[in-house]
Amino acid sequence: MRHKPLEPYLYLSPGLVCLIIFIVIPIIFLLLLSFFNWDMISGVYSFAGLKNYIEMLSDPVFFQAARNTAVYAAGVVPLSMAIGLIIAALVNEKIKIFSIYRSSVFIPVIVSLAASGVIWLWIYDYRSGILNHILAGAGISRINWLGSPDTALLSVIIVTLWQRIGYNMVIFFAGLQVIPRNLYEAAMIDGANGLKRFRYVTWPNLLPTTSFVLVINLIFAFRDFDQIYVMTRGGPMRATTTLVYHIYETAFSEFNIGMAAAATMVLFSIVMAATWFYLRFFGEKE
Amino acid sequence: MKVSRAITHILLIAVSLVFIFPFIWIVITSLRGRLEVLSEYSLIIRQFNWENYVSAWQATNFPRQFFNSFTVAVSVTLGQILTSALAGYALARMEFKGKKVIFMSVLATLIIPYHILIVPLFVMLSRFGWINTYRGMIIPMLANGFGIYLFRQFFKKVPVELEEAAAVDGASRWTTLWKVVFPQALPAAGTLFIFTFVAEWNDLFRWLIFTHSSDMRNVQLGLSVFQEQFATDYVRLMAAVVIITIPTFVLFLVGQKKLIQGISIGGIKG
Repeated sequence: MRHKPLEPYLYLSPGLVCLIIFIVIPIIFLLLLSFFNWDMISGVYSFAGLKNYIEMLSDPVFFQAARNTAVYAAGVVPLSMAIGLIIAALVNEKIKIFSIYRSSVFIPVIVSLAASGVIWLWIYDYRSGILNHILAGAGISRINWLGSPDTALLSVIIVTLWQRIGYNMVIFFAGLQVIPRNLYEAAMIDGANGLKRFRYVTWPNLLPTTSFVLVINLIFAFRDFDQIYVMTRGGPMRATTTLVYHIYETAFSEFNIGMAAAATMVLFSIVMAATWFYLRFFGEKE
Repeated sequence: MKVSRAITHILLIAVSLVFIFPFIWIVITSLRGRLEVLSEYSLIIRQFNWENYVSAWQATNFPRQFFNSFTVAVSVTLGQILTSALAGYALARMEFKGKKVIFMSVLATLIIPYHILIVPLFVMLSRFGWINTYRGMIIPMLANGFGIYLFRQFFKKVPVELEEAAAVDGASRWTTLWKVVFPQALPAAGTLFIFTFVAEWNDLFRWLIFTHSSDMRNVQLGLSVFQEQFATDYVRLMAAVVIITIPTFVLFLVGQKKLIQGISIGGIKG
């Protein structure tokens, strides 16, 4: 079918203009901001060179935030993927009851991270929370889950796991469903047991899905904010201050836009590196 | 074989309970008495205190927050369907210079989390005078690479013959898109609607930063402020959690398949 030469651009323009103004330009602007002093209230700005980056690198809070983010990602990403995959493999059946299991594991995904935070504030409550009550029944003394710097980050990780495993499960489940059945039948004829079938049939065929899940989980882990804001406000003693939380505080409590931009550039580089890694190893598949 | 089957079921029931238990627990909590809740751990509800819900609904400005959440989520969702269908159609069915580069760039925007844009966007929106306004909450979200990708994939599957028949009848490209091709891709619109609505409804971050007056809060920010004010009033807090989760829960009940489809096609949301 023929069309006028400018017609495609006309169709593209509403979406593309929006993506350019609100994604592409902000990224360029972010880079610029990181080299400027910017006073949010007066709008006065001056060139700062590398000052924001130098200041950031001499700020112990930045390094603590970077470390917390690494611990958080290292806790959330592998566990939510592994558990999500195991559950997906277990529920990969065409019987009604299995769809009930799937829905049960999936349902926390529709709850906002903010509401999840509020729910778990109650579960973790030091005096009246059910978790400490159950522990008391087992003879274990109360734990100040969110109130102690030793357990706060772990507690946040548990909440994220509860909310995210279902997300990973449904992607893995979709991936498992497209693996041809006859591959399993062939492996069974060759006498491969369950573990071997996973190792030689499931795992290699699922690799594109796994790598995709890995990348989005890394991106999620580096940007998680809402549940931390609701449950701990980055505390106690900055034990749950992640990079995003640090950026939020720097920009919107301390009004240091330049330094917040510099810290965001670090986050941006991490996301880019993760994506580059993914594309490098798994090609430009659609 | 039979034994391993039983073990699988027992394991899956246990796992399901772990995921579902917090829901059961918040519903029970939300119906208890304010003092009873601090020392009662059984799953039995002696008295249903439905007035907790009325009280939670009135304690913070939930009607206004529901209005804000709905207005923004619906506007963003419908806007995304429109811009995505148009761009997706051009990418699926038209030939033009730069097509491949444009498509790759659209996909590239998908990996940028919103949180990375928040500082420059805040400065930009401040300059526009869009902070604490509906347009500031809606317009920046009106396009989404995921939606464009989704529609492109669906449009590619629509038989070309359908369009050619319409063209023979003298229909313009524009008419063909909306009268012939778009109806064929309604499942894509459904997927995008549910997926985007849930993401928008559940967002706290953007509202926390781009609004500052109490009448511009959405339900998530409202919940967070409610929690700040009534930290230990768990009865009403859990009632509030239940109230603001009902819309996404209803969408889950009617559109679970579409929601999951959106996620497994490649939903990285902002």
